Amino acid sequence: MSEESFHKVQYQQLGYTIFTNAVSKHLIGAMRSKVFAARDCELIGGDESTHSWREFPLAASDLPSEPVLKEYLASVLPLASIRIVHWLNIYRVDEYIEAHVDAGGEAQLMIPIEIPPSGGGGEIWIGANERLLPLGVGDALLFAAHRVQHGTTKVLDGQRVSLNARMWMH
Amino acid sequence: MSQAAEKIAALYDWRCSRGGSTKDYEPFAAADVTLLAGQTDFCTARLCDAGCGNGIHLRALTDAGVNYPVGVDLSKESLRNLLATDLADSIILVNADFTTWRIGPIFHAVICSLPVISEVEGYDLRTILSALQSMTKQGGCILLKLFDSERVQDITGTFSVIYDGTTSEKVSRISHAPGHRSIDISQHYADTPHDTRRETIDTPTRDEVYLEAQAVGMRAKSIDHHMELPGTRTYLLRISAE
Repeated sequence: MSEESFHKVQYQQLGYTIFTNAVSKHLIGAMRSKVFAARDCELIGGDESTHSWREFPLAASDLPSEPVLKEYLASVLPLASIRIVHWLNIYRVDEYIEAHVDAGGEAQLMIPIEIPPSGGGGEIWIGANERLLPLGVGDALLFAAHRVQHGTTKVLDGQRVSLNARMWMH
Repeated sequence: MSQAAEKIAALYDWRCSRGGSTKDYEPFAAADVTLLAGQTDFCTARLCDAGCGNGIHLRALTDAGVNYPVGVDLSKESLRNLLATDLADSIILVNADFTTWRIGPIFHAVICSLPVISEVEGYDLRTILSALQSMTKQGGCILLKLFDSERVQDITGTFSVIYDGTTSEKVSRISHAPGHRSIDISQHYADTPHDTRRETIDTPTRDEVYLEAQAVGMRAKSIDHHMELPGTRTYLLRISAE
């Protein structure tokens, strides 16, 4: 165990790990611009229920290079053998995602781009006991979405935007 | 991570590299948590230990019924040690420099016990207080424990501590020059006396803490009649109403 990084041990043991200050302001700004520029017709409904969120698909070319994040990820996953799909999630007031386990992918990265003000909901939780994870804008959560239950709390104020990446190992 | 943060992380990684425990400190941590319980509703509150180290306050918080207290520390070694304990499923651990983490005011209460305060850029008292304030909700509470200039003489000397009765015997020398506002801590493991690590920590006076807290918009109150770790003083801080 002493050979392995804290992040790798935490991810393997608990199904998640948090990388703080992992992405640049440039990435945050670029993703906010995309959401701002998108019209409702460019967003895809997250699901059919009344609390549905919206999604905005991204191409790899939409994303600036993020060396700090890559270094963090490389401490946990074999980056050379990963296939990734990216998208943005947008949750507005009263929207959330219920408890679920993802059907696909082997790991997921979630980067908060915009979060509601303190007390405004829109937080991600994980595990059977729904533990709320402390995540600020610029942090990144790596979690095993295919094996641990997760969801978000309802947005009460403002909106929650996150950049997501679903990863498959070859 | 800044160079200063890397140095601090390396020192604390070294301190934790051979395991060991600090069971002697547990009653002091429990007293801190009892003090905080009088200020915060533990059933609903979200709490953080900024600089959680080997987790003695996290354990006291979970024992007191706090759900998933968050432990933040620069030292990956201390956090990895914590993952190997029975606490791992009851706490949330984050490897971060809390002085630069942009988490926002999400905590109802924050504990910060013996942070490294020094002249090093980014670790002066005001920066630490400002960081703690930015993590805490309006009306929230911060319990801050600092080495105190009026009390450090109680802890100067040389100490040999055997953790767990195994391989972790550590020798510490704490020195304090009269008139100086800092202590020097020099440590080595008993079997490697030439591998010595040194650290200098500022020891602000009570008035300095009050003034610096006021400068960042908080009210500080020194706690008297508290079960106090030798050489230290405990403060409760609140964010002033605007």
